[in-house]
Amino acid sequence: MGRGCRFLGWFLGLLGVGLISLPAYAVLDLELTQGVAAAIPIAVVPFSGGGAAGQAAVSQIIAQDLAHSGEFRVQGPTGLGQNPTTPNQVDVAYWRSQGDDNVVVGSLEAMGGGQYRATVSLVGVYGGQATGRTLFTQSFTAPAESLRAVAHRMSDLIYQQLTGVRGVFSTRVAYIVVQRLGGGHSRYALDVADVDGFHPQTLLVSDEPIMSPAWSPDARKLAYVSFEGKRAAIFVQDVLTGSRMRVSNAPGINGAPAFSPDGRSLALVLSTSGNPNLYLLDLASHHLRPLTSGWSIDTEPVFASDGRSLLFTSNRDGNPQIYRYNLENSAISRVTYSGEYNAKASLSPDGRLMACMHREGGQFYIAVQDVPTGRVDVVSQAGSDESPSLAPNGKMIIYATTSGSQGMLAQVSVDGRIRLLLPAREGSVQEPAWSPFVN
Amino acid sequence: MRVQKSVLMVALLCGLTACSHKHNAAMVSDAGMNGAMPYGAGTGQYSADQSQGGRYVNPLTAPSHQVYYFAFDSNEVDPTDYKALSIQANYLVSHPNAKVRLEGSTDDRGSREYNVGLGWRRDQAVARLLEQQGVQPNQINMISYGKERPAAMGNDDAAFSLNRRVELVYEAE
Repeated sequence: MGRGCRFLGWFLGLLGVGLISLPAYAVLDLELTQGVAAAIPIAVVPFSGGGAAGQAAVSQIIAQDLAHSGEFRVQGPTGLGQNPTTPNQVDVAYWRSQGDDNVVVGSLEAMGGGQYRATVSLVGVYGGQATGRTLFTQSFTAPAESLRAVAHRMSDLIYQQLTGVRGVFSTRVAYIVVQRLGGGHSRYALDVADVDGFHPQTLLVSDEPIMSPAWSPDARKLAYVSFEGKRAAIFVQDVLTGSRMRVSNAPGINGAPAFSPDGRSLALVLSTSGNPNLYLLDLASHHLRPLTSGWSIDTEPVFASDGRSLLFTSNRDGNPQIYRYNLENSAISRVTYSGEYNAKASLSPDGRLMACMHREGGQFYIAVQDVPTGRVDVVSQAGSDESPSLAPNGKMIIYATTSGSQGMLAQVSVDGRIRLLLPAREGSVQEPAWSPFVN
Repeated sequence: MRVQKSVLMVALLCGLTACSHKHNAAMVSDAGMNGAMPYGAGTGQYSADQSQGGRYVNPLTAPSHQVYYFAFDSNEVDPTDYKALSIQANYLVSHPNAKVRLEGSTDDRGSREYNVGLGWRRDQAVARLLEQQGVQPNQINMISYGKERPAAMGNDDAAFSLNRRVELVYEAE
């Protein structure tokens, strides 16, 4: 270990923290506070096998995933009267009598060398023989420590089969944690966790603010703003290796980074013209292309998934509203007309839905705008809601809210019918960013 | 799918970028600021007893730490601050190696990045007044923290008004 490593170790010791390992507990809790009325009834049966103690039961994770989606009424894995583990053991008359439309069964088999073979089957209890209709069977081979991830993949398959929409149970969330230490000092951390709050991982700790985490399209990197050294700069950090690169360090504002859909550029905000305006930075060549100019505050760029335009926040008409910038002809058009303040747009992949921060009656809410029609629906309730980020399947929004003085995260479906709260166990949580699909 | 242990990146410069400057404590506790709970100086630059209970009163000496407060939705420097600001400007003009950093902030309402822009506008207003009095641009660094570094916690006008500010900090005297 060189002198640098020893210094780092001393420094970390001074901070009272060490290298962050990956505990399998959640730092964020999920509480479903409202689900849909016409939820799909499903039973999740305990898997056979199960292996060594300490592995979270795969069936338990699947049951929680489906329950937290707000779209399923889940029975099990505890308290069930029968325990089939393969499709031909499913007695449909029994499950129909329990009110279930579908049954999830499966098995775990130790293969030696710490590897497991995990198999799941989804059985529909209507429209088939006495043992129902097997909708799919899928097997995975993985080491013990990856069985949580396997369970989430199984949840994705079940969700897609029954709703027609790709599941987001294998995605991740980045967010900022702030701890106020008193005496004017705070500690800021940039964290990444599984979307169910497990496997929290800290990428950066600082005593200066961290802002605006933004995922690369391949979900391998995060761009963010860090004020370390008392100056704003934009960094891109690899989520797996932790290595990072500073990509923008102009005097003044370096803000609001957003990856282009091909991952090769970052839209960002600089004040080098004298005003906060938008620029496009080519990450390979470092070429900087000015996008907007003029006296207004232009910020919060976000790309449409075809890469041909981006939405941004601007006060060019007085108060902050959302505008679209056409990257091909530089034309700018206004997108939001409802409410006197709209900011921080987040777009669904098909471009049809936009979530944003919206002020009404002096309070801030999350609103969803149907892009083709312009229709706006307010979907949150607390009045101190901000930083919306759409899931990559376009169905759920994660955002920041407060309870008293503590910042916490919340989720709401785009139609407002499903709600979850994600209070943090320590500190104040803000600025969530939902990852793209993780392959 | 193995996930490697994350590398904890530490970026810490607390206490290592000490700017030595003298405070003349001239703190007035303002009993009208009910509800605001200042948890401490915004950037740790003014001492605890100066931040008790309310507004920082700018010393009429230089070099000294300054805090200029702003009205809601405004980036105009309050005329009652002109005198203290002029004293800093005169000092900077007569000490060409002196440098200040302006740290702009907003209250807690609104989008974070948009508030970085608003804090920047406040920095610009202060910088303009300094430059009009002969301070060289290269003596002024500007940073906007938006709403990320509140001086007071709370969801009321008292806290909001303590957070709408530009702090003037000497980086070199």
